[in-house]
Amino acid sequence: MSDQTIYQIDQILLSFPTLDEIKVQEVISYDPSRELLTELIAIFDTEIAEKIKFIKTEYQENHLNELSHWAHRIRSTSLNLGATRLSEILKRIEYMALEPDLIHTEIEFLINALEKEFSSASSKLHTMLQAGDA
Amino acid sequence: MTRQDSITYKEIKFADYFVLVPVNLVFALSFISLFTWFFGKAIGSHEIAMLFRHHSSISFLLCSVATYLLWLKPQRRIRLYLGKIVALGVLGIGLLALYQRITIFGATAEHPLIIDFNGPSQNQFGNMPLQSAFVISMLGMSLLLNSYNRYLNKLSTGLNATVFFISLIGLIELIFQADSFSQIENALRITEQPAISSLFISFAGFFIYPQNKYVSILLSDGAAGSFARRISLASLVLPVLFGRLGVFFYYSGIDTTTTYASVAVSSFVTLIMVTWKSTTAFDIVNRDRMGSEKEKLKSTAQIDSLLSSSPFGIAFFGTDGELIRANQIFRKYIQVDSSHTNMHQLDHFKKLIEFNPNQSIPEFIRTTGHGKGYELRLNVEGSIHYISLNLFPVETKNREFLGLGVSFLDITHLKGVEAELIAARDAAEVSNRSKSFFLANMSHEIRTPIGIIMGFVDILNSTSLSEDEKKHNMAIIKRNCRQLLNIIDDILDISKVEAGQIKIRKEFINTIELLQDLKSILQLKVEDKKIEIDVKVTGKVPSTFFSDNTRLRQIILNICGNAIKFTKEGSVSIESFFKENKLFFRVVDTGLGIESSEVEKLFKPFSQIDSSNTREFGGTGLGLALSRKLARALGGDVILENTELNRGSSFLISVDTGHVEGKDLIEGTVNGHDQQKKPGSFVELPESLKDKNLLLVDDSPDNRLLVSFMLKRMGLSVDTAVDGRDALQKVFDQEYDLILMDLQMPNMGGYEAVMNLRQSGYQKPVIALTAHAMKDEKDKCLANGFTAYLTKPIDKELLISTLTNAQL
Repeated sequence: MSDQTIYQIDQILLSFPTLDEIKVQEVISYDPSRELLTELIAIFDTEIAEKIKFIKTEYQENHLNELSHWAHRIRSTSLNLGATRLSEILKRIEYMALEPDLIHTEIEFLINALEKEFSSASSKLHTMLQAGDA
Repeated sequence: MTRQDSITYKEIKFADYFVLVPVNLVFALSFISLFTWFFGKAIGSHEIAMLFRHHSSISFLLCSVATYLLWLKPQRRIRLYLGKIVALGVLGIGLLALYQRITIFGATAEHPLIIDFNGPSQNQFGNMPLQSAFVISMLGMSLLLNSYNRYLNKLSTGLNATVFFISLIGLIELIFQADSFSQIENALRITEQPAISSLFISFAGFFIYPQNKYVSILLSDGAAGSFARRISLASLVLPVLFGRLGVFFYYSGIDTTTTYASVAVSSFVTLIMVTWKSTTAFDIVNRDRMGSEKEKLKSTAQIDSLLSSSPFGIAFFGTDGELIRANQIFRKYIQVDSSHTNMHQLDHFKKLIEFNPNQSIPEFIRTTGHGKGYELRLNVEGSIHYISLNLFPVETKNREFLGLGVSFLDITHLKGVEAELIAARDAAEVSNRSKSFFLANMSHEIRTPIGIIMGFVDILNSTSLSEDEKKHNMAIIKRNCRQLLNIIDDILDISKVEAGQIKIRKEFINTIELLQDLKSILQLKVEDKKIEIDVKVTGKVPSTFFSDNTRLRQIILNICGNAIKFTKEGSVSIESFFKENKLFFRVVDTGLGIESSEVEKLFKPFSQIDSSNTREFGGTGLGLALSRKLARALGGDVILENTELNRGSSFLISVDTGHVEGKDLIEGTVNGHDQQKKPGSFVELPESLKDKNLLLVDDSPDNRLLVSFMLKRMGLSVDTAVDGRDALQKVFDQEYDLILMDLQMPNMGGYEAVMNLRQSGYQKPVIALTAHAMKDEKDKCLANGFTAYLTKPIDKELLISTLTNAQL
């Protein structure tokens, strides 16, 4: 089997880095004590984890407008800390949910990817925070 | 044949009587005479028998029969030959009688043309008077010669005329008992009966094959015929009548002066009547002619109007090629001007219709055939036109050939439609073949993952596996499912683009970040290949540009994916440059290259280059077509710049960036993520913003935290609100120099809040904050009362410049 086909769409997502470290460095540059970063990561973890739950619930209940709203709501949160791939997934969910001919397999794929990507981004952020000298 | 000769007169209704009446009279007279010769003595009717000598009777009877048979002009030629045989018999009798007369009396005869002796005493055969024999011979000869042949007909008419005048003079002599006529060697003396019969037969003979113009006019309907008949009859009858009148007066004892005067008056009155009647006829003809001329003028005007308004090119040529008439379209297309008066001058036209200059027009139309059509290509005033041309003969009702007619219609438009239809048909056939091929290919692409999925499902169902093995198998199944989804996505994308339903979501894209991201992902793809990835920027490019980030990445990755797929070793490079509000990405590989014959179908959906390549390298073959369509939707294109077999290819991708200011152009390098991007350093706040009091309105706690931290760090006083309602309350409680406001918030959104603020008289700047990086969102913000617009995540430098500008 060729892996080429898998890249047709996935590789677009893959082209967005999980974590744009420059963004993190920028936050640290505002507050070298890393208190700001710590606070932002905490918010990132709670906000996004909570909103992902909302997104899944709204999808299950077929509340697509609300689903789109929550996706939009946490996009800026992910962008603030350089989680660009997560932001790209959220953008797609936000717009796809409002399309009249919704492809459920596609949005399901994205919601699943959302959780994984959040986990990866959070993990990377914590790694950077713990590194201390990042 | 000249046109003058070709005139045919319409005959009068009673034309047949010109032959039938005299022939029947002679026949009846001869028959009665013969009857009395044979039976008259028995019944004592000698007087009647003396009407004709029996041989004269036989001769004139035969003359009448021959004349009748010849006049019938029968379809069955046997009757014609019979008529000629009878005429030959008449000639034989006449010549025999002539011969006997000459040999009996010979040169010794004192009166070779003496008057015939009446009476039964000379009833032997051969005892025909010489003058009768002479007249009958001429009649026989005339009947023999009478035919359609022009010269024989003239000879026959001459003989008839001779007999006619001899008979006429003989009759006049008899009528006037003018003995002095006998003094002319008795040459013209003839008895009453032969004179009458020969007069009638010769008269009828004129009309058997009437080719002589005078005879034709006599028979014709109309003024000329009427006039000719009246005058001819008057000329025959009146002189005799008036002569006899004079004789009558003379013998009645009337004096000579009165006699002449009476004859003169009678002649005058009669001639005036004849003239009057004829003049009336001519007047009618004249009126008809004038009417005809009017009709002709009307008809000509109608034809001219028809020709000038006709969409056809029309022309008529005479039998010798003279151009009789041509409309403007014909003159324009065939390039005919006033100097061209004959078809022989139109060399180009003659070539077009394959006219042989050695042929006459009638020959040409005869050999070419009636209604021959041509489809011709002409250069008309610098542009190419196609015409459908027809030739046709111009003929009278009697099929008399008058010339050559030409008509044509410009079918350029039809040719264009025809070409389009042919192209459409060809395209449909190609498309059909391509779709068949595509379906076969797609079938393979779909069957492969399905086969794998089914295989692993069977394994999972039937085999006891460890957890790791199960996870591994499930991952394979999932990957193949994803592959199937991707194929479907491609097809949907293509159909959406073709239906114009693809949604383009433009946002501001950082050029260098884009290139760095692309480089990273491409490097991952070539990890197990001996390929080097090179991404570079040539010249100045916009730091950010406005386009669809997802679709643009899809296009570039697709082209690069192909480049990597078909390159076994060497390099794949992306060169980015900016020109005329377009950002270009040149993708160059050192792969297989494309055969020139395959280039044409490269970008066609459902059309793939060499299927063996497809099989070897996989893929649905929709990528390039989809990429081009997406690039065009982004205001650019994808083109194959060049390709060389086994050397590689170069594709050029372009997208529209919108208007880019010169100050926004940067010179960048793409050497790696970390090196390129530098965390923002502290930026000095302008004096005008120092100590300003700001309100930050955002429902997102991280945004409130981050932005307020940044602003405070810059030296600004910052207060925060969680939504629009909270913001309004704070604005009423305290005065702020500037407000930064998110758009989407619970309770009260940014649009509603700014509207309330403006309505309450708040004049200070309000800057919108949104994660929507769409251009239409910005326009909407400005139209709804916001002073400026910023996108999240906040760019520090942009934030300061926006704040500064907004405050100004």
